[in-house]
Amino acid sequence: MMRLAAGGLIDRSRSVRFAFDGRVYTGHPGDTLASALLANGVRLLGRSFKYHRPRGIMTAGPEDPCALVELRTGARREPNTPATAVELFDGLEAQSQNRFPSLRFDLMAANGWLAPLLAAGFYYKTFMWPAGWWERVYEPLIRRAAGLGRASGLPDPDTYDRAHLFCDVLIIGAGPAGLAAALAAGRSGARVVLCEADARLGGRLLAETCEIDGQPGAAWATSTEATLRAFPELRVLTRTTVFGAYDHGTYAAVERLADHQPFPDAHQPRERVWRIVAKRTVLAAGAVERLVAFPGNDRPGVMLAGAVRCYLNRYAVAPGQTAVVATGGAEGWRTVEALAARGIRVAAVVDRRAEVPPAQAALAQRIGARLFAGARIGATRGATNLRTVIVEGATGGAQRLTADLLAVAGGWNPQVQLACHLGGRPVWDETRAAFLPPTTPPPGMEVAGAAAGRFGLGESLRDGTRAGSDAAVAAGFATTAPEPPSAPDDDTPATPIWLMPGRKAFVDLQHDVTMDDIALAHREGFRAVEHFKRYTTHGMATDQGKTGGVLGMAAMAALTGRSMAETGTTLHRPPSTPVAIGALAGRHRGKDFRPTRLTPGHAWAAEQGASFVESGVWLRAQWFPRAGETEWQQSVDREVLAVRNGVGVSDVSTLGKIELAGPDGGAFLDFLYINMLSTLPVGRVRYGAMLREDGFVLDDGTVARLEAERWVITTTTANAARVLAHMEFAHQVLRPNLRVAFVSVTDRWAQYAVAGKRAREVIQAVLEHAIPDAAFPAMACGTFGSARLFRISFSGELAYEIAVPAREGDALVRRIVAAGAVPYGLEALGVLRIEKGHPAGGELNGQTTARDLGLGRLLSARKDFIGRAMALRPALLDPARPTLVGLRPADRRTRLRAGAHLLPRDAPARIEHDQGWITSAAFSPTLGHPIALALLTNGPARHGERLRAHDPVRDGETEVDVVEPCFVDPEGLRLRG
Amino acid sequence: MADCTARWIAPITAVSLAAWPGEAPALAARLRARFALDLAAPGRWTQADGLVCVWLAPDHWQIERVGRHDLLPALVAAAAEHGAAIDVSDARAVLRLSGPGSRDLLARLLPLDLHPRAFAPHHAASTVAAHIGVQVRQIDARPTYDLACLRSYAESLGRAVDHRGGLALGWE
Repeated sequence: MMRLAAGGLIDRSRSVRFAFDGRVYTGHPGDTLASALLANGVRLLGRSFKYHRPRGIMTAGPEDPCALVELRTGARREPNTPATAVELFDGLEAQSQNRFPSLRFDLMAANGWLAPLLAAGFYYKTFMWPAGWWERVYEPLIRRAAGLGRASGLPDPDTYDRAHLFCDVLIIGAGPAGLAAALAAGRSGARVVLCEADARLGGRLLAETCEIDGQPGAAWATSTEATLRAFPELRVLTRTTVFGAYDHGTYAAVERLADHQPFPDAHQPRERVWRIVAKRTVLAAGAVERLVAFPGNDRPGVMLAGAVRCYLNRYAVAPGQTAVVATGGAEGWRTVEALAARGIRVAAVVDRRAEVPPAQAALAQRIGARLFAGARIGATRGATNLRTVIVEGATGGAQRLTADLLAVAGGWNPQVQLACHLGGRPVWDETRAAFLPPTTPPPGMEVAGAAAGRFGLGESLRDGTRAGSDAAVAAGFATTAPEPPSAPDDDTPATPIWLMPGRKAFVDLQHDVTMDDIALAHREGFRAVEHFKRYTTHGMATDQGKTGGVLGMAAMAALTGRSMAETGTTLHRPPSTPVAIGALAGRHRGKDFRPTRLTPGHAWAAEQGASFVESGVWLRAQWFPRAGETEWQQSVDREVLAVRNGVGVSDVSTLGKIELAGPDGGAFLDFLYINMLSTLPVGRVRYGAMLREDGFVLDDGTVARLEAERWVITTTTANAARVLAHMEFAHQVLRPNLRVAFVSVTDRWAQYAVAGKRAREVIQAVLEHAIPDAAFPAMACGTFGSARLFRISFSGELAYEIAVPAREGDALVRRIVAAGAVPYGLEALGVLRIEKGHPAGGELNGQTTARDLGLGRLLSARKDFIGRAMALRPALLDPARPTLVGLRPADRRTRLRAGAHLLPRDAPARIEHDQGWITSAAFSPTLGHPIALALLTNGPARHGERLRAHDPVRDGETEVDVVEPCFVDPEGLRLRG
Repeated sequence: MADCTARWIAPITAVSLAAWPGEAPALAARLRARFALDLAAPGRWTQADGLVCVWLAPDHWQIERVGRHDLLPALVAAAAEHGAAIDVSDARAVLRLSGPGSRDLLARLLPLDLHPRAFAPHHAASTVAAHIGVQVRQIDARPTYDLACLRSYAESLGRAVDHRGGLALGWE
């Protein structure tokens, strides 16, 4: 066991059982999966992405590139989770990744021998021939061999939440700088939100032995948390990672509500994505440790020096029994001290400096560690675990040292990602040996503490205090900065980047990118950061190169002889950390992907057993099957014939209805529609069409004049919102002085079409009012009690549309049916309109003009209207444009399908012979054969011609006859009853 | 005892009221004289004697009364030559959320700052909830909020509120 006898921020009074690769272990609350595995002596966690090399635990934070496991089982299995970021819970199950047949003996490790073939860009070069093999052979093979964990492949059983949060000051990170900022901002009374990715506040204070205001750092963090939580307007969000910065002070964060439990509680979302809008932001995200590049730097047992201190101090775990520490400065010597203080043998300290300060040399002597000054790591050895470290001295000789822990101090990278999300580029600082936040962070953001390269504890606390106070003042709160918490200024000199070339010196551990790959990219000309990143996939794994990214840039800088500042870094984009897609989707999954609109008669239609179809967000009755009907076509044919031979009722509540009022209503309608509407008398309805500004048809519908200064217009269901927006634009921008008001009344009215030769008797029964043809002729409208009645027809039959206030809709449709009308659905409605040749969705496709649709006669020459000028463009007047025609199959039997293209009978099926396409097709029970509407070049002149309808997608080939688009009652006799 | 209670308020009589360009002061004066009701300022709602006025857009308000009434003729007369009135009764469903948990619930639904410093009784806003256009009003400081959506969306809005409320929500 590697658990230390005392210390740590774990709860030793309780034990937690967990399993890794099927074996059961125990840990304590407060552990991560990584610390608990280390405590149990488990150091091999998985196999690497490309070479299947053994990998262990490199860091103590969520940025770990190696310690990736599959967490949980069944539908909750989640791949590529860093064990370093998983809070231990009772019953946790984890598996190692990318190994076959077992973690310890992995056959794919042979890939390591093939490394020369698998270098950067290998898949562009190696698997070129034969060409056909890429999709069938190479890609599946590579995909099987590479990659990391497996997704569950099952629907996610958990729910996710999204929420909105507004504040004066957002503080990102609750390390020393963040806590100091929160204290300063919170006391001003400002609304403060403090986000911390960890379950505990404190950041590095939890990992180091330090003192603030005379208290141990971790204890100070605890007492500060109590102070902060007492501020009424300060909100602390733990387990919350801010992953994106957006415009206008908006940030996105993910809160892990239940990831520290086996599964969420009842009604508890697993994760919640917060949209946080902040007046000011303090970015105090700290810094993450950098890797050091040397041959074999990936072997389990190699760990970053700061992570070693974290395991010792926070988790009371010894990451090894015999340690070698490699450092270029004071950072590694702090780890030497920490190891010695915990009684762990330090065999040697490898310091790249030729001159080691006397105090540090004396420390090595005191604890009995050999000191190699001016030395480097030549290699590491060990099958699945570090056994030997080979040290190359300043004079060239190599020493083999036995050790199971190699702590490497590579320096720190400020966490600047969020400061760069709006396009800022980090700035290289030579004295701090780090990329610092851009000079132009997102507006309202200030970066404080280690995230700004101020690594010293005292410095960080002062910086946080000032930033927190400034933010509160900038957000409008009168406050002065409090005395910053006091801590010594351990002015540790910066640790420069350390590259020791050689075979298998990794700069990206998650994507298996080595310094050799960077050199190859350099040789092949991929030298700019954005180029070599993509060529080598360096920094493109889920860890986004947080530990190794800068090393690759340094390697390229060295190869090109450019400075780090000249080399630069790649652009940071959100999310800065992986976020579950489910969390981004929130509640909007499955049936809740979009809301559903229901008509007032929905419950009635459902009672009738209607089959429903989505029509935009509306749910509409498609047909009403009756006993004995086994195919939808039977129901639809029956419904169509009921309308043609008797009377039917259909719910048309979804049609857009817009009511207009005002003395200039007529002038406004003339401006909107292609035809004259100001002349429409009270009590009459007129058909009309609107164009877009570009001269193409926007929508069609009816206009009814109810009173001298009151109209109601209808739109198609699909275009209701678009037409209203078009009208708002026309009124607010183009004709602001017209005295007209309009509002959507779609939801106010339940509206039903009653159609068929017996329609009048049904309406008279429902209204209990006589409506003789003379008093209420075709295209009449009027009000009867609470009902509005329109004599308009979409089916070509004698028809009325009756509208009542929505709450009366259900009762009305029941009365209409009781009076003898047969319910018909959207399909029958479609067949009826195709039989009459009325354009709808397939024809109102945004590419057709009024002339194309046979509505040219409506275009008024006596007034201006929207789209008039553009509709006169020569190309739009070309008679060769595809124009509306009717089609029927030459054999009167073969089904026609929308989408089929029209070709001359003898022409080969090539694009140059294409003459149009079928827009709508149906079987006409009235005629007893299939019919279709089509857009055909020079259409009206070609009635009587025979063409081919060519449908290569569905293997269809039919001869069709071109006819008038109106198939039933072209004289319109039925309409007049 | 739930932290938040929810119930549908119905029916609502509602009339959309618009003023012609430059006529809002005259319309306001007539409305005040006739109903003692003030035209609401942007982002606010007012009430007098059971009548409610909500600001919707520049020169555009909605006048409401709970229950079934014939409000239109009186408002057409009040608007006279200064504006127009259109009956929109039945067009909207109104969901009332009340109780200490309602602010938290709405934080999961609305992209609006409902903190007492930002949104108080007699404030109103048009926004979106779960892809549904809603008009939000704060009624009192318990706090109580009314969410009005188009009637056809009522079931979806109820479902969205129910999902987000979980165990803390009680339907009345």
